[in-house]
Amino acid sequence: MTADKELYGVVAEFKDVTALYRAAEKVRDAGYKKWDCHSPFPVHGLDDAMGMRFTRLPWVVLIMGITGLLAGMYLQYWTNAVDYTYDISGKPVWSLPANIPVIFEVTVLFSAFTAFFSMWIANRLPRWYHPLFRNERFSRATDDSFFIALHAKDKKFDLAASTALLNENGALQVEEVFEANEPSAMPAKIKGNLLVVTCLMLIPPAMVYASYGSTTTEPRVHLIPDMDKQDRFRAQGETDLFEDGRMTRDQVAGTISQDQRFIHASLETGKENGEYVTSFPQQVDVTEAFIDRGQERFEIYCGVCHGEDGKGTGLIHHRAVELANLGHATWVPPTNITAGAIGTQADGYLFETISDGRRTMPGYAAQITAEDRWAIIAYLRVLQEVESMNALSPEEMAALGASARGSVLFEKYTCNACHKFDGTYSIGPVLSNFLGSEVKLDSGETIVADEAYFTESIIDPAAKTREGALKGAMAVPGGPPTAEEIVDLLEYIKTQK
Amino acid sequence: MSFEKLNLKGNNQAGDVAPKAMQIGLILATLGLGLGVALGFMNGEEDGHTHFWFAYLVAFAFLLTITLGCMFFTVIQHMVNAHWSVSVRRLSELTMANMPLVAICAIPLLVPLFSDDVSVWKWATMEHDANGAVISPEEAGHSAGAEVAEANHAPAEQHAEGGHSKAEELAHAEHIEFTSHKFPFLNRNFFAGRLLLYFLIWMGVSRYFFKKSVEQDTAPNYDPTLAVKRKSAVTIILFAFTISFAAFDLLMSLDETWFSTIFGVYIFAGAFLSAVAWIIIMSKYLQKNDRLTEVIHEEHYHDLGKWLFAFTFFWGYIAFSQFMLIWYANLPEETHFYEARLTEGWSTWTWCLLVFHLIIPFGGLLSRHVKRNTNVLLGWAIYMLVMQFIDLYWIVMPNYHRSEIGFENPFGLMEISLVVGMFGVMVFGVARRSAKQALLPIGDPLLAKSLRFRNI
Amino acid sequence: MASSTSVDQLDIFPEELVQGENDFHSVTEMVCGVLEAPKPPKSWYVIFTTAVALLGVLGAMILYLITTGVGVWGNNQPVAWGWPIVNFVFWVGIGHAGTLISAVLFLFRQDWRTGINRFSEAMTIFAVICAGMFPAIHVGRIWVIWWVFPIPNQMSMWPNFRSPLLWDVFAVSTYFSVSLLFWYMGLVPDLATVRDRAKTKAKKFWYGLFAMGWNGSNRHWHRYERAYLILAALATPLVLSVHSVVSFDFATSQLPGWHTTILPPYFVAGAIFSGFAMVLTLSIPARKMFGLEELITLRHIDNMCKVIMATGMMVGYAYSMEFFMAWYSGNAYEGFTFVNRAFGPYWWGYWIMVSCNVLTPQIFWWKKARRNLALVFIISIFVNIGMWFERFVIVVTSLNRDFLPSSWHYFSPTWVDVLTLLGSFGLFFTLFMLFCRYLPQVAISEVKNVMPQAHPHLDDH
Repeated sequence: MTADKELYGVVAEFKDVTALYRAAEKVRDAGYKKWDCHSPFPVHGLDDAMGMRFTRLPWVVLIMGITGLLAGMYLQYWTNAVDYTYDISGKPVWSLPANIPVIFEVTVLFSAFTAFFSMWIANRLPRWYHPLFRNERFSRATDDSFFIALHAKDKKFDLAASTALLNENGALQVEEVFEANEPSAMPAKIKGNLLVVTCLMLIPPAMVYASYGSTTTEPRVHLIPDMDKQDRFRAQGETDLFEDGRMTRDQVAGTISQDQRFIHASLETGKENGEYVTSFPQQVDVTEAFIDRGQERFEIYCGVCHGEDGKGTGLIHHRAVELANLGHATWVPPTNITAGAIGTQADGYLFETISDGRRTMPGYAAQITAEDRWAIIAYLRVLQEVESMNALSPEEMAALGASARGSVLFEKYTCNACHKFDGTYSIGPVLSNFLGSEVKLDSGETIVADEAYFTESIIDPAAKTREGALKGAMAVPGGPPTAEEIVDLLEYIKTQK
Repeated sequence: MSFEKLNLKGNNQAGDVAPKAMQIGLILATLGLGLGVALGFMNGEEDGHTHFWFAYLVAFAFLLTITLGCMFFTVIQHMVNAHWSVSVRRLSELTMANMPLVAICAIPLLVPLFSDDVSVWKWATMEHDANGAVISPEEAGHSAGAEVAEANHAPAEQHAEGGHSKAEELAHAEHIEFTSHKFPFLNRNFFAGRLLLYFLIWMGVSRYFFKKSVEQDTAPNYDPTLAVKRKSAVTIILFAFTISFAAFDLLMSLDETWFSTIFGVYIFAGAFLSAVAWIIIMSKYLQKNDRLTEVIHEEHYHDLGKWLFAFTFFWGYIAFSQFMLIWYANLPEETHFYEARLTEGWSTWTWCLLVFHLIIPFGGLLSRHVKRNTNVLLGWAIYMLVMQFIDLYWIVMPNYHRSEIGFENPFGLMEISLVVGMFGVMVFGVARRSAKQALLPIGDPLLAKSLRFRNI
Repeated sequence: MASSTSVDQLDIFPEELVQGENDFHSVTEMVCGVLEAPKPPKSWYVIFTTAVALLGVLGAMILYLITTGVGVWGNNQPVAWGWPIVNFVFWVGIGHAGTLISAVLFLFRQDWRTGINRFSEAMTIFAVICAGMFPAIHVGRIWVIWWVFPIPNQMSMWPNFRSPLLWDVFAVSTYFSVSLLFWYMGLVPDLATVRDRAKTKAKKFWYGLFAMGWNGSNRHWHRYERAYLILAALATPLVLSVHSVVSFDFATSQLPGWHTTILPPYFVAGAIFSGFAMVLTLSIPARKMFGLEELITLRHIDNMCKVIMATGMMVGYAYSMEFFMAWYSGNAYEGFTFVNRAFGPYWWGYWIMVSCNVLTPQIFWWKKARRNLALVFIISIFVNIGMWFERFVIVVTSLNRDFLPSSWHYFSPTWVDVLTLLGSFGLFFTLFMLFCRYLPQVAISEVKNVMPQAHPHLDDH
C-alpha cells in the first residue's frame, strides 16, 4: 500500500450512546471545534453535549414561506384579475376567498421545498466521497455503532493528545484516517464527456432560440390534429375535386339557392312596372280562410298600435299618450286605417306601407311573409268596407252644411288623429287657436297662419314648416283633398274653439 | 408494570391560594354581573330588555364553552393515553367540575325563552298568532303560506293595517312559512327539555371523571384510571353530539332560517381553544403563587402553546370553510348570515375577527421560542380568551335588532361587565373546589412520564 | 399490586415497540435482509405478477380511452362525474394515512409510528400517483392537460383560479411533491445503511448515489431533524387542506347532498379512515411475508384499529349532522336527496356504505378483535369497500337525481370503468411490490431511535 496523502483526522468507536455522550462532552470541553459525532440515529441531547448552535433553517423556511404566500397571491391576481379577466358566475375577478386554497398550497410548497433543499445544502450534501468511508469499521456508523471523528485541521488537534483524549473517555479503538491518494480533480475523460454532453444538450434550446421570431413558409408541425384542420369550403380556396381547381362553384343553371325565391313582382313588392298594383296578385287566393289569416296576423302585428278595430287607438297608443301627457314623449298617433282616405290608397301602396314602413311606422317585411301581408291587406279592406257602409253617400254629404261636411272630411283624411280640439294630447297644433295666429317658420320669418297658409300646408305639408315642429310628421293620407273639400275643412276648423 | 408512588417536589396543594382566588372570583362575579344587570334593566327599554338577554347569552356561552372545552380536554387525554398533559389535567378537571354552577347560570335563560315580550329566539314567539294565542305549527305554516300567496297577488302599493307595509308583512309571513316546519323541534318546551338533558349529561360526565381522578390520588392500584379510560371513547361521542346540538339550540337557532352542518365543529374549535388558553392562565397563576412549580415546566407550556397554535389554525380552517362555501354557492338562504355581518355596523368587527383571531395569533404563536417563554405565552392565552369572546359576540349579537334598516352593533359596557362577571363565576367555582384535593393527579400512572418528557 | 387484567394494563403501559430480543444490529438485519435476499418470497412473485397483469390492463384501458374518447365510460348527463372521480377521491383519500402517520403522529410524539411510517409514506406516494392519473385521463384531450398549470399557452389564457378543480391541481401536486420529499428525506439514512452493507458494485453505486453520502454526522442529524420537524409541521395542515380542497369540488356547488359546510373535515376524517384501513390491508400480510413481525407488532395493529374507530366515528358524526340539517333546513331538495340515497335507485350502494363504514368497525371496541389479525384484515378491506361506495353514493346519487325530475337519468358503469379501477390497483401494487423488494420497508434509523438502548442513561434522568 503506497503512502496515503494527508491525515484527515482520527476516528474513535464507542459501544453505546451513553459512552458517546460522555465522550462528546469531554471533547467539547477540551475546546475542539472541527469535529463530529456519527451515529445510526440522532442521539437525544447530543447537540448540547457537542455544544452545537441551533440551526437557522427555520428562519429561511419562514422567509420563503412568506415569499410563497405573496407569490400565490400575486399569481392569481395577475393572471385572473389583470392579464386575462373573465367573469365566472359573477364572482369578482380578484376573489380572495376563492384564492385562499391556492395561496395556502403555494405557501406550503415553497416552505417545504426550502426546508428540504436548504437542509441538504447546509449539510453540504450530496458528498459521495468522504475520507471516513475509507475506514472499515466506520460502515457500522449506519448500523449499530457510534463514532467521534476529530479533524486534523482543528487548532487543538494533536495526533497523540487527541488519540489519548478519546481513549481515556471510553473509545473502543482509535484509528487514523487519511485522505485518498487519488487526485481529487475530475479525470480528463469524464470532463471531456461532460463537455460533449453539455454541448449536445445545448443544441435544442439554441435551435429554439434561432427560430424565435424567424419566418418560414412551411406550416407548423402539428402533432395532434384534433379537429383543427378540417376540409371545408373556403371562398377562393383550392381543391382538386374539380377540374378548375376552385372551391367556389357557379350556380347550376335552372336552380335556386335555399333562401332564394322567385321574385314575382307584385307579390313581393306590391308594384308592377313601377306602378302600385290595384288588385291582389294572382299568387294569392282571397278566400274567407285567407281573410281570417289576415285578421289573425293583423291582430298579432298591427293591432298593438292601430288597435284591433284599426282605428289607431291600440294599447301602445294609449300608453304613449299617457307618457306624452306627462311630458315624457311626443307621439304621432297611428293612422286610422278604416278612414276613408286610406280606403282610396292602392293595394300596392298599402303593401309598401306594411313592408317598408311609412313615416314613423317601421317596416314588417322581416316579420311577415309576403303572402301574409296580402292577407292583412285583404282584412284591412274588410274593415274599411265596414266603415264605409256607415259613410255618408255623396248626396248626403251635399245635404250637409259646410262645417258639418268639413267635420266628416276631417275624419276621413285622419286629420283628427293629430289635431285635437277636446284638450286631449295633440301632437299637431290645436287648429282652432292656431288659425289667425302668428307663426315663426323654420326659415326664420314670421307669418300669420291664415287660410292660405292652411291650404298650402294641407296640400304640401313640408312647404312651410314651423320652427320646432316634428319634421315629416304631418301627412295627408289619400290626399290631397280637392279645393272644395279644403274649403269645407276650413269652415269646420273655424267653428271649433 | 407495577404500581409506583411518586415522590413529588414543590407545593402541590392549593392551600391559601384558594380563598384568595375565590375572593377574586366573587368580586368579579358580583361587580360584573351586578353592573351588567343594572345597565340592562335600568334602561327602561321597550323591548323587554332583549338587549340584556342577548348580552347575557354571549357571556353564558363564553362560560359554557370554556367549561366544555376543559371537559373535552380531560376526556381526550384519557382516551389517547397522553402523558404530557397529566401535570395540568387536574386544572382542566376542576374547571369541568364547575358544571353545576354553569347549569345554574343557564337557568335565567329560561326567561327570554318563555317570555312573550323578549325576543331572543324568535321562533319562540312565532308559534303565536297576532293576538298571542298559541297556534299549532301546521296552522302557523298554513296561515303564513296563505298570507304569502295572497300577498304575492296583491298590487305592490297596498298597505295592510297596523302601519306595516305589505313588503314587511310578506317577509314576515314568508319567514314563518320557512320556519314553521321546525316548530316540532324549535319549541319552548322541547328546547328547555334538551337543555336540561345536555346539562344532566355534562354534569354526569364531569362528576364521574373528576371523582375517579381524585380517587386515583389515593387508590392502591390503577383501577380508577382504567375505568375512566374504558369509558372515555363513548364519552367523546356523547360530547360531540351534545355540544353540537347545544350549539344549534343556543346559538344557531337565533337565526331560525339559517343552518350550517359544520357549526357544531366551529363552536367546538373555539371551546377547545379557550380551554387551552384557560389552562395556561391557571398554570401561570398558580406558579406565580408558588404552587406546582416543580411539576409544570417549559415542556408543558410548549405543548399547551402548540395546542393553542394548532387550534387557532383549526378554528380558522373551520371558519374559512364555512364562510367560503357559503360565499361560493351564493344561496340567499345561507348568505344572509354573512351579509348581516358585513353591514355597516358589523363589517369592522368581522375583519377584526379575521385579522386578530386568525392571522395575528398564527404568526405570533409560530415560533417555538414564544411557546417556551411562559410570560409571553400567558399574554397570548389571555388574548385568545378575549378573541373567543369576540367570536361568540359576533355569532350572537347580529341577531339582536334584525331589521330592514340594518343590523345594529350595540357593543358597550354591559357586554363587557356580563362576560367579566361570568368569568368571575368560573374563577370562583374552580377556586372553591381546588382546596379539597391536590392540584395535580398525584396518583396517575403516567405522571412520571409527564414530568420527564422533552420536546424535540 | 394490580387487580386488573394485564391486557387492560396495556392501555396505560403498552408493550415494547420492538418485540423480541433485538438490538440495533438485529433490526438492521431484519429490514435489510428483505432487500438483500437473493430472491424475494414466493408470495411476492404471485402478487407482483398479478399486479403487473392488472397494470397491463390499465394501460390497455387508458390507450383505448385516449384513442376512442370519454364515451367509453358510463358517464352521461346528468351523471357527468362517474367512476373516474369516485376513484380519484378514493385514491387520494387512501394517501392521507401515510402523511398522517409520518407527520401528525410525529408531532404527537407517537413513537409507534416508526414501525409503519416508511411503509405508509410509500403507500401515500403510490396512491397519489393512482389518484392523479384519473383527473388527467378524464379530461378527454389529455395532450393539453398542461393547460391546468399556469404555463403560457398559445391562447394567452390562464387557468381559472376561482375554480375548485384548479385548487385540486395545486393541492394534489403540492401534496405529491411534499410527500415525495418527505419520504425521500426519511429514506436517506436508511439508504446509507443499505449502502454500507452492499456487497455488489451495482448495489453500492445505486444505493450510494441516492444516499447522498450520508455518514451519520450529528451536525447533519441536527439540521435533518429540524427539517423533518418543519416538514411534519407543514405536512399536517397540508394533509388537512388537500382533502378539504377535494371536498370543495363538491361543496362549492349548489347540489343538495354536495353543498354542505361540514364536507371538508368530514372528507379528511374519511380519508384517514380509508387510508389506515389500506395500511392495515398492506401491513398484515407484509409483516408475515417479509418477517417483520417484531417491528410491526400487535401494538401497531391495535393502535391503527383505534384510529380507524375514531375516524369512523367522525364520519358517522358527519352523516348525522347532514341528516339533521337535511330536515332542519326545510330545503325540500336536501331532504329528498337523503331519502333518495337510502331508498332510491342506488339504495344498495348506500346500505353497503353504511354497513361497511359504520357497522363493521364497531367490532374494534373489543381489544380481542383489534388483535385478531385475520379479522382486522377482513374488516380493513370492508372499510375500503365502504369508503369507495361512500364516494360513489355522494357523486352519483346527487347527480343522478337533482332539482329537475326531467333531467334524472340512471348511471351504469361500463366494462372500461370497471377494468380501469381494477387496473389502478395493478399500478398501486406493482409500485408497492417494487418498493418492498428494493427499498427498506421500515424506517430503520427511526425504529432504533425509539428503542430503549437509544437513550443515553445519564445521572439526572
